Amino acid sequence: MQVTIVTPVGVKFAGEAASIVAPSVSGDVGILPGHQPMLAALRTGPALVTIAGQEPLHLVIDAGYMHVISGDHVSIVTELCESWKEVDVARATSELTEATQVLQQAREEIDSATWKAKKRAVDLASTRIAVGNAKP
Amino acid sequence: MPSLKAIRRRIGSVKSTGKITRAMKLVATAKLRRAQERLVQTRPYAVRLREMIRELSGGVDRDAHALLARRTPKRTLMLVLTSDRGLAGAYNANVNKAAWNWVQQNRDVREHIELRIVGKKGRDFFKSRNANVGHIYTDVLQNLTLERATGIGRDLVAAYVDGDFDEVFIAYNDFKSAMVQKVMLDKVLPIEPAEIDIEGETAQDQPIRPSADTIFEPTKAAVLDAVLPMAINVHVYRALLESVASEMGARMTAMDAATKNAGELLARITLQYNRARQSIITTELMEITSGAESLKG
Repeated sequence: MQVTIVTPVGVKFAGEAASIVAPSVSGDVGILPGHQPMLAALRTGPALVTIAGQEPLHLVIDAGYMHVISGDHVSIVTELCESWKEVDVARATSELTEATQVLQQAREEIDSATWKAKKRAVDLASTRIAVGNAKP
Repeated sequence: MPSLKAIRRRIGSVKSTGKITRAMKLVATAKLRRAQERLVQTRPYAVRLREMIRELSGGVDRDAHALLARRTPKRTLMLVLTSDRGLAGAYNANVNKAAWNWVQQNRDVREHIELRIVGKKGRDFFKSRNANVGHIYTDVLQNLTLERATGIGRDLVAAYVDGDFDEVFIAYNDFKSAMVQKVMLDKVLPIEPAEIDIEGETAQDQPIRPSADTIFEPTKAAVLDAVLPMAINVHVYRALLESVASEMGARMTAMDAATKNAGELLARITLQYNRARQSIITTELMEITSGAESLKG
C-alpha cells in the first residue's frame, strides 16, 4: 500500500509499505493493506513502517492524524517526523531530564493547555530515546 | 575645496561601504530563496490541514471545540513579527505602525490588549511607546526552525485555551515580491474554518477528504481537536517564513539602492578628485613656466 507522511517541512516519506503501526490517541493502530477507511488522531509516539525486502523504518511521530483513504492509500499528516537515524539519543536524554523536571514542578491544572505542552515535551523526549535505540 | 588626501579617504570609505552593501544584498538574495523554498514545502501540509478542518468542522457545534468557540472579544493578544536587524528599508516600521494603529483604535472597545513581540526591532519600538508588552522572542527569524515556530504557536494556543485571551492576532509582512511586502493582521484564534486561506493546489493525486464509510478513531470531534492546534502552529510558521522572506526582500531592495547610490557618489567624488588633481597640476605647471620665463629674462 502507498504511504505518504506529510510534515510542515515537506513530504517526509512516500512509498510502498507492507504495514504501518501508528500511535493513535487511544493506543497504537496497525494498518495492513485492505484496511477500511479510517481517520485517527495521533499522539506523540513511535511509529513503525515495514517495507518489503528492507529494514523496518522506526519513526518519531508528533500530534496529527492518520487517514486510511482506501485499502491501499495511507496518509499521515503530522507536525514532526524523525527517523531513528536523525535522533540524537544523548540530547534526547538530557531533554527528558529537563522536561520531566519542568512537568513535576508544573503548578497548572492537569489537562490545561500549558500542562499538556509540558507533558508533550516529556513524551517527545522519551519517544526519541525509544526510537533512537530501536536500531534494526 | 577639500584637500586631495581628504577626498582620497572619502573615496576609500565610499568604496568599502559599497562593497558591504553589495555583499549584504547577495546574502539577502540567497536567504530569500531559502525562505521561499521552505514556504513551498509547507504547502501540501497546510492545504491538507485546511481541507480536513473544513470537512470536519462542517455542521459541528463550534462551542464544543476550544479553538473554534467564539467569545465576546474583551481580551486580545497580538503577536507582532519583526526582525532583529535593521537595514531593511521600511520593513519593520510598516508592521510596527500597523500593529500600533490597531492597538490605538481598539483600545477603548477592548478591556485588555497585550502585545507579544518577535524581534528586537519591535521590542524597541513598543518599549519606547510604553505599550503593554508581554513576552518577547528574539533571535527567531535569523535561524528559523519549525520547532521554534511551533513553540510560539503552542504558547498562543495555551494562552487562548486557558482563557487568558478571547482572540489572537498576528501582525506580519506578507511577501509579495522583493519590492512589495504587505502588512497583514491575521486573526488566528478562534479559528474560522471558512477563512483559512492557503494558496496552492487543492486537487491532489489522492483524495484528502474522508469518505462516508470512514471510521473515526476515537471520534470525529477528537480528530478535529487534534488537527486544530496544528493549523495554528503552521499558521505561525508560515507567517514567520513570510516575515523572513519579506525581510530579505526588503533588505535586498534597500541594499541594491544603497549600492547604486554608492556607485553614483563614487563617480561624483572621483570627478571632484580628478578636478582637484588637475587644478594642482595646472597650478604647478604655471609656476614652472613662470619660473622658466623669469629665468630667460
